[in-house]
Amino acid sequence: MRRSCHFFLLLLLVGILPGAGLPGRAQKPLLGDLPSGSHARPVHVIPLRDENGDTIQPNDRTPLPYSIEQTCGGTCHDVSLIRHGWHFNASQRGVPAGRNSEPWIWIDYATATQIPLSYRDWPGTYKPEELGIGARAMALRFGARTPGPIERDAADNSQDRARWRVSGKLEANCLACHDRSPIYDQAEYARQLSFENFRYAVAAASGLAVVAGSSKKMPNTFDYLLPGSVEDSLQPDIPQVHYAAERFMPGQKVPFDIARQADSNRCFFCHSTIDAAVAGKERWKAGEDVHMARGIACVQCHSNGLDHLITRNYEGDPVAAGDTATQSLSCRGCHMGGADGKLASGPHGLNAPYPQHRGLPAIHLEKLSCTFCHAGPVPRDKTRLLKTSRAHGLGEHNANLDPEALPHIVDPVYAQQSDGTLAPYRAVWPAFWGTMTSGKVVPLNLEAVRSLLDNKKLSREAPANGSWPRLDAAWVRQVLALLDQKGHGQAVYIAGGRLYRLDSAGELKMEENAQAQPYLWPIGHDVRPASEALGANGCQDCHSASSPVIFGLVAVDSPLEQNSFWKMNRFQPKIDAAYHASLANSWKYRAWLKVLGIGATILLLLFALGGAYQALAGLSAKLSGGR
Amino acid sequence: MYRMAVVGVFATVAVIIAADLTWRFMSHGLSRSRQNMQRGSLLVSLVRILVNAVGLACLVAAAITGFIPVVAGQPSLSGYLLIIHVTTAGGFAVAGAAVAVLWVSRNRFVEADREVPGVGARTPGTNRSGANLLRRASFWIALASAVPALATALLAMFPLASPAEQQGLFEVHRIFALSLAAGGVLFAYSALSDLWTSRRD
Repeated sequence: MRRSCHFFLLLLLVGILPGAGLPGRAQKPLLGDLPSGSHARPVHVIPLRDENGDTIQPNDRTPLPYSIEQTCGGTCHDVSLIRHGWHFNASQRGVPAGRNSEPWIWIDYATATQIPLSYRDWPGTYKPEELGIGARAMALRFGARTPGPIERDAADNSQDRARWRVSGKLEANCLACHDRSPIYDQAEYARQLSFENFRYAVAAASGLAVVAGSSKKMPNTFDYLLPGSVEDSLQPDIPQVHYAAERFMPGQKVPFDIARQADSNRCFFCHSTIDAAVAGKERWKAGEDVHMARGIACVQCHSNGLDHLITRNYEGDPVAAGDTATQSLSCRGCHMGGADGKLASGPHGLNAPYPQHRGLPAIHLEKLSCTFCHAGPVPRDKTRLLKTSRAHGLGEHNANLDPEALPHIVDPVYAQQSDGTLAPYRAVWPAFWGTMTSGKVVPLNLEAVRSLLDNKKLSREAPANGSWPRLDAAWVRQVLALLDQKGHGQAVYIAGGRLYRLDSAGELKMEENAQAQPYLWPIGHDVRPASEALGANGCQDCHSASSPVIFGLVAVDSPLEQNSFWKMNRFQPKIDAAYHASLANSWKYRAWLKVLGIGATILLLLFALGGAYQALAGLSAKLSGGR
Repeated sequence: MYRMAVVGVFATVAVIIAADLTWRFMSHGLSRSRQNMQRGSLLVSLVRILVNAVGLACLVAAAITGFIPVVAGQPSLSGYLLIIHVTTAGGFAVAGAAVAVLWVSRNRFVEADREVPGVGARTPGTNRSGANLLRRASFWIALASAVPALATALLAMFPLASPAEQQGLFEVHRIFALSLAAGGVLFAYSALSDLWTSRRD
């Protein structure tokens, strides 16, 4: 009897705990999560719900902002599952990181800081909390460039926690991707975030309401349910939402233009890139991804299921292991049927053209990634500055479009991947203050450094163009001396690929350091067609003494040095640059080799034919009795 | 497979040379002949020697650089070996064509070659022997192999073949390169030994 009880308990554990292991995972699919099998777009005429799940009444005297998680979630979609999808888990810990991608780049002019941050475990990035940057600060700086959610974390201080209550949560914003309405405005979402109107941002962005006021001006004691509690002088700035009554149908339902597959236009808000030299000028000169130009949408390749784990489509993605449908979405998978040519066409049946690669020795396909020749800007003798939506807020109001505005992202950098193949990358050079601890540079709390510099009137100011503030070695020496006095360990400043520190005599020393190396992430887009790929102009695109992919110059970005460069082959440790220089020099004689080779082959062929003729004539003579 | 073929072919070449040397030594000794030395001006002779020497040197260099990775079990020919291989192969293409010009008339098969080669086999008045047959046969093998070996390498330099087709060209190239190397070495040996070996008629 006792044994059977244990068995029953074991069954309970086996049966129940796995379900409990997925936080918030519904036991059965919700209404909107049941795939009907229809290609048709589901119609969304739904009531708006507030944070508590109550239906919004637009005619209320002080209507509440609607909560997107309650409106889409609740009874229809399993938001708790969706929140673990690739975009949504950006601020969650312990998520498999996959290969490096674009980080959040934190800029602080006062301390001359430019540092790549990520909650993901990407080598070369730092966790925001390592610099004392809480989730709230991240939400304010980058919240509009992500579909969220960003929620308060341990790095938030007491002031942050109070402000979270005032501003509300930054929820997972379904509309950022799925709203096809032409009036959905992510820039307005960003504007509302700048007012700390987190709980109002979706209502304002969706065009269902006009939001006035600013949570930023409200005191820590502000309660949005009791707005009248603030002093009179703040009354005009109380956040208020005014719904467009004409958008409501009988029953307080609102029609949404929701697409199951996100429109590329939605992706572009966070995933646009542009050559800094062209930013603010002619967009059409910046080029376009060949897939987009052919009418292929982002989501046709970057697909996902209900879990919203969007496929990244790079070769070797552990998420795609054993999943032929996902593998068929990589470059090789779609265009060549996978590495062995045996994969079926992708699930979208795009029938991608099979690359001819005429004249390309097969070894190139082993040593180079597809993107090496086909992705990113066409390389020139030097890298260029790039602007991205996530780093520079492209598309947001008041984005600084000056080509020199920080952060400085350089591309294309041709570097070796972990498997030894070459691929194009983007790079950002870290610049930050830290301490040397056990041979490792640990970033210092950014706020502490800024306060110290403010107190000593050493803070730098942003120049008009938004580039690096003016500073020199003497300033670095001064700050390092100050930080050393704080006694947290030996203070260092990382910038421009170097580590700066004070020696025992108090002199500024600079040295190489692995953590001073730029953070690199691979370029996936824009993809260039064959006619614009490397090699389209012949082998000399790469095999020449001036080839940018091996002998080009990578701009070293530093507030201390201008016009400093690293050779491209510094990022290619397994490549013998001397050999490639020799090979490039030998290419000069390739035309001669071809001409002489063809001449010699023709001559030898004639001799061979003559010999064959003679042999056949002899045989004929023999057979005919010598006549 | 190809590695075994390379080792086997060169072992066979070594055996043929050893057997021929033995035969020559036993039948004629090692006295030097002056009868076969071609006559002409000193300059022409020097050019002739130079062409033959360069052709042989390039062939040997191209063969060594080409077959070293195969024998060493490396996956492909690359790096400096590839540069040397392509450079010397280019030199061989030119010098090889010149060698062919110099030797083609002397390597035409004649009636006497139809005799079974053996010790003392000769036709009065023709001054030929079984050694000449070896020279002629190896010359024509090398010449016939040089055409596809060079043509496949040249074709790969133009934007004509896809990577898979280039792999096919490469397979053809290395098959004929092997017979070219074997024929070339045997021809060089027999031509040199013809110069050296005494022929007393």
